[in-house]
Amino acid sequence: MTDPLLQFDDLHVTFVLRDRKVEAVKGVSFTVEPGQVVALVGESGSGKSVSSMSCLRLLQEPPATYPSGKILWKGENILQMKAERLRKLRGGEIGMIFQEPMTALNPTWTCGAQVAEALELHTTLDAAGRKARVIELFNQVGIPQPETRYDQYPHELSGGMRQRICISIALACDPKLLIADEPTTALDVTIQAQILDLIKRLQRERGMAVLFITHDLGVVAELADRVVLMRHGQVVEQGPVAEVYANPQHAYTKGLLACRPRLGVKRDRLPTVDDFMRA
Amino acid sequence: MNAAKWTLLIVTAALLIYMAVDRWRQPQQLQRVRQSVDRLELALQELSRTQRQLAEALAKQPAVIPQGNQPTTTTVHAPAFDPTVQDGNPKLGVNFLMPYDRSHYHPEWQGGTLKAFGSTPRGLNPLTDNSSTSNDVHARCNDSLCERPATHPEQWSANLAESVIISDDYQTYTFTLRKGVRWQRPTVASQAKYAWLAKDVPLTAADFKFTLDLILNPAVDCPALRNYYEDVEKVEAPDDHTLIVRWKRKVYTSLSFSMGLSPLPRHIYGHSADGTPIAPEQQGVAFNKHWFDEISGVVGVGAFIFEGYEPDKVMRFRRNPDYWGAPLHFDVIELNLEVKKDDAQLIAFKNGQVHTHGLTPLRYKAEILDHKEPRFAALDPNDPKAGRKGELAWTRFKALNFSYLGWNIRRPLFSDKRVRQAMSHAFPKERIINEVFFGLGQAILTDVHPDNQYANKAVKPYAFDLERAKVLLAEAGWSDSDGDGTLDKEVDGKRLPFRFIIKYYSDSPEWDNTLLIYKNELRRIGIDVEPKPFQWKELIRVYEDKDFDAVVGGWRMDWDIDYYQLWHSTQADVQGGSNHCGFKNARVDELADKLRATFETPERIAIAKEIQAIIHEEQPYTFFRSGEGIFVWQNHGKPATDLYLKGVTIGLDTLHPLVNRSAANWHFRE
Amino acid sequence: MLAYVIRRLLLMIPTFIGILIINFAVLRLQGPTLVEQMQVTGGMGEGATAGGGDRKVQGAAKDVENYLDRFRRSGNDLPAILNLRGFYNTADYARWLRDTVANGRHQDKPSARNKLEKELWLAGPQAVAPLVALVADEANADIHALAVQALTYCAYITLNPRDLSGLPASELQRIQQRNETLRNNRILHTNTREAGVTVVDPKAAEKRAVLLALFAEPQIQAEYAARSGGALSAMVFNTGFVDFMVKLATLDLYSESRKEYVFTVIADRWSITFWLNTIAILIAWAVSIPLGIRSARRIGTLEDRTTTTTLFLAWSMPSMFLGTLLLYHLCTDTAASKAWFPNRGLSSDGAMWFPTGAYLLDLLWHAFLPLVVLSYASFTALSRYMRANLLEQLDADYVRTARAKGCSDDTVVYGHASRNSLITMITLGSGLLAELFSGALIVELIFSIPGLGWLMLEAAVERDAPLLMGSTVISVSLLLVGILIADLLYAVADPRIRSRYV
Repeated sequence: MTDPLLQFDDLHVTFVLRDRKVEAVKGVSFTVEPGQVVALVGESGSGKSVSSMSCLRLLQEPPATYPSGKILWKGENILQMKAERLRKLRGGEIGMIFQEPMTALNPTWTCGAQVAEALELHTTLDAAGRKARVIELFNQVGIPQPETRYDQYPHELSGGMRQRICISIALACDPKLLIADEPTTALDVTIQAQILDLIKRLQRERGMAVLFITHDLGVVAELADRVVLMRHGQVVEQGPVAEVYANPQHAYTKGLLACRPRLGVKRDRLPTVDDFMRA
Repeated sequence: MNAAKWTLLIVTAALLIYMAVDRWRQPQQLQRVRQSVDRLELALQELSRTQRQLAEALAKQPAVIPQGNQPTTTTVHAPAFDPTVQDGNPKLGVNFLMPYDRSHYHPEWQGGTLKAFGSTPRGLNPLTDNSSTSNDVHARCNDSLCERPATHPEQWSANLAESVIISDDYQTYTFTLRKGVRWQRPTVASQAKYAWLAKDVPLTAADFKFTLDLILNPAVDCPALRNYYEDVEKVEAPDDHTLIVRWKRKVYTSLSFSMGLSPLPRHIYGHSADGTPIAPEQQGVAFNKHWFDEISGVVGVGAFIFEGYEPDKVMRFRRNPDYWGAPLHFDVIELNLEVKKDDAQLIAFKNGQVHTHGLTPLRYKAEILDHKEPRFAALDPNDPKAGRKGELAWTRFKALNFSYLGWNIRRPLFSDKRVRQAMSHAFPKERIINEVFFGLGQAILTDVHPDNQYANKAVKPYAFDLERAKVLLAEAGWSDSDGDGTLDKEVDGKRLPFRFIIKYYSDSPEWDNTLLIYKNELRRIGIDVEPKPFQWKELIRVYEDKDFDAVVGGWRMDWDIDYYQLWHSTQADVQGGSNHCGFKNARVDELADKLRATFETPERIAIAKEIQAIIHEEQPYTFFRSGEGIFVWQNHGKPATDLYLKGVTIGLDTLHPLVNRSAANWHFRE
Repeated sequence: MLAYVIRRLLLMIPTFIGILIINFAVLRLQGPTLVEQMQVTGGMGEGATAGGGDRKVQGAAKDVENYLDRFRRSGNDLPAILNLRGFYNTADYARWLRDTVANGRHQDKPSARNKLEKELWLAGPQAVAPLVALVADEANADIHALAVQALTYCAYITLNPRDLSGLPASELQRIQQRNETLRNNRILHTNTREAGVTVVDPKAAEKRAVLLALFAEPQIQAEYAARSGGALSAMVFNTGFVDFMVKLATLDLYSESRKEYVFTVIADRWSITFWLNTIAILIAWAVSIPLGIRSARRIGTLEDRTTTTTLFLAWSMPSMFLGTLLLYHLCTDTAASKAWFPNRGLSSDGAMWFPTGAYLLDLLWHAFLPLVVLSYASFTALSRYMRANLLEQLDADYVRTARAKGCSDDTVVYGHASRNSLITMITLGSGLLAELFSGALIVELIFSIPGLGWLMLEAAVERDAPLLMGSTVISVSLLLVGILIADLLYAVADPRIRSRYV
């Protein structure tokens, strides 16, 4: 068994506010193996975004503190990395895409320039080389007329296009891991399908690991190898997708699975998770 | 962009700015060089002219060797100087002018540049531009027929006119002009365009006739001036040095207007820019917008030549080497036009950038009394000249103006003279002068300054006496019948409380304080007064509408006294009259008319004193104080090689107490 | 882009005219009236200190013609925006004249009567025909004397300096003779409360006859009709504002009180104000932006809080106060030491001859304190806004993306966030321009720098309408240009605006 790429080891994240403390993550442990697609599932407020952003230390450090636990990247503890090393990590080894594509890009920079910046930071290509690589990336993520798009501004593109640009930024430097924080929640269903296909394809082509955060169980079923369920800052269940779906152990998981509305099944009342938790 | 790119950008920008400024300065420098060269040329021309004149004088009268800066021509008085006749007081049929006094001038003290503050003139036409700045410039550069010398300003001395004879009917003035007086050459005469001005032109009586004709020409834009001369019947200049002015009526004011006349250069103002004479019917209109004013030219026969001015920078005067009289001791006078604000002016003075300045009462308190500026000598009650000892010297000087509280005699409150006298008794003059004006100013009793020869010093002051005021008010019928603390009186069947509004000029913190103190005193005798401030524009309307119970005001004083304008009963109701208070007294009317037609000084003094006594008794005004200011100058220099105005202390003591100290005869000493 | 600029420039014109109309109307509302002009003889306004005032000249009402000339040459005789004089008829003028009689409407207010009467004299050629009818009508015998006087002033023709050189000599002579006739035929009268208007002139009937005969001539009637124009056209075109705009367009604005052309006076002075303001703006931006960014990055620290407090303290000090304080303490030679900074002007004596390097240093030394006083008030606003904006931007999503890309903190702040926050700052910046123009006045006063601000103050105090309006034109133009530049900067900085509007 190869070493895990990314390992969460009893991670605790506490937000220190002026008058109180909020424990967002209370001991989360799971791993992501190379080439694996792991889905991180949970409701809003379960701590999944916090965990994923902690991977790149994107949380503002003063409110956010890490009282205990580690996140290991290839054995190195991200939480204790120096600034220089962290910068190389971000974008160079781990790529991340976010939920809101409409605001995720800088409105005053051209799309091409934003992607090229990622290349500038982590590679030694010259300007021409960078531009060529960007065009190539655009082709890979399925952006038509890449030369025109290079000089256009984000506000001239649709949401789906922008998300593709974000993906190309994340993948520009061939990272080993892609963290996708609910990338399709803000898009409409058809675009959602396209983006998911894209991610699946890219993952297969590059053989990179993906940490996919979502609350949509259907997406999980389509995309992931393993699934990790979080609730109130803790992992309640994890395991291969098929197993967990077939044989949920935890009441929460059972509740989640049971609460999916199904066509053709008539019920008087939709069950909720609470029913299962009480039981 | 990284640091290297930023540095490169800044360096390039700096270089560009450097080059641009360099390029921009060159034409300015060239122009300045050109101006200096022009001035040098002019000076050389004058030098050669003086040389030629000296040579001529030598050739003509080998016995007389004129020296250096003394006037190159001497004058001969036909009759011998009789001090009983020529005492400067007007008389009929004889020349009463004091001879011209050269004694204050010392050639060995000549030299130096005087620096003072001035303001940018708005137009320099001698007749149509009536501003104080323009008048100052012309006063420096020109002379009048007769002069009131600073040591004896109540008398007249010879100036441009050597003698004046007043006819027996008091209506004709015959002047004999001094010979050998020449007009200054304008600075533009060195230019080819104005070469027709590059000649010596003597001053003649025709110049005076030209001046009076212009003043009386209705097309010329000088209505105020024309008003003074409206009674002139005709002007004649039978020969070059005789001038006859005839007036329609016998009126005393004709004396100062005739004798104070300054000439205009006929050879310039009567010609257009190319030298052709202007047709007489065009003269008036052409004068209003004359080419000579457009180039800011000023020409006179006086002690200084106007070199010109740069707006908001500097105005320069140069000594006239050709001057017929005894000039001030400076070679150059530079007026600083740059610094305009009070605070900035004081600081410029302290930094030594000007030699003289003045202080307002508040500044006097701050700088001298509170000793904020250690370079000023402290006030010493035993030594009135204490201020002269400091590094920066100061002295008090009296101003020829006074302020007053005026009571509207037409209104029931103040129609009784006892009430007005009571108001004067309740006004704490001395205390206000000490507290509000820090001791500056002099309490006055009449509209004539106590140091003036016309003053009636026998009147008894209305001392601050609240008891006496109460008695007078009771006599006039005022009492507190309803016990509310305010006096009242039955007038026309109604109960009238003694409550009124006093209107004053709003921009003066001194009046605020004065009236506040007065209000408190009046409260103690049961009178309610409300001081109400007005903008100057509105105050003028108040005067015009005579819409006040009580009002404050001030007037300028003069060496000559005329009671018609302020106190004659005809002036009380006419529109635009100055007799705001409605003062009507038959005896004063009679005396004022008589005064207007009296020329002999002892008689005039007697009449004036009687009028003052009557006015003092009637108290249409409560006379308050005459103004006083502080004059400061540089007494010691840093570095020691700089020269400073020591001469002021010498000149100060010989002047009449009421003459403005700026008329002192200064010079530089080490 | 070019089309955008042209569109904006065209839009500026109505704005410009609108501002000028308002300024003009307000100025005229309290501008000099003929009455005030005639009362103020030689600096009377300053004479009313705790000292003295001038003894008033008696009968100053006599030479009204000179004052009328001055008024007409500066366009002050015409109403400001709308000229309704053409619609007045004889009855209106009769009523007007009866109100100026001492026992008429303003019995107790000589000043109001005075003002009313002088306003009538300003009516000019438009009043000639009705007044002639009034004088001819016997029913108005009680006010004939007043009407004749008004008529002579309205019919009086002002000669401009241009006329002197432009018109032929015969024409000039004819006009002067006419003016002479009018002057000689004024009926002397008194106007008292008790008796009303009393004629004291023995030749009153003759004078009236002469005048009526004069105005009965058809060519003279035609001449005055031509001079006054039709009532409707005169309503808009015979107004002070149109007169001003015409003079502005032909650069013919002349200041009576300074005896100089307005733009000559301004040309000497405006460059100093312009440069001072521009450099002050640059300094304000150059200091505030980095300060704001620094504060935003170190939010909550002691440094941030001290900076904020200091800046607000500085902002609460009015520039007049600070300037005078600086002048007093840093620019005055005391007995012990020489001042650190010069107390006036922008160059030392003889700076003309310094080598350029020394000259520039000298200039910097002189301009240092004025620039500080001009710009310090803007530091607070600009830097606090920058700080707030930057903080807002740093919370934005694209900053998170940039960080996730691996950008260093510096790159994020300077390369990404600042560019976006500058867009909002541009709005603020264009407001600064207007403030600076008024601030420049105070600096010019305190440090004795001859500039436009001081000129405008003097013009306002002297009620010199042409000069004030001329300076307003200049400062308004600069302001509009500044706003245009701000708009263009918007387009340059923000691509969203660029694509939408440009």
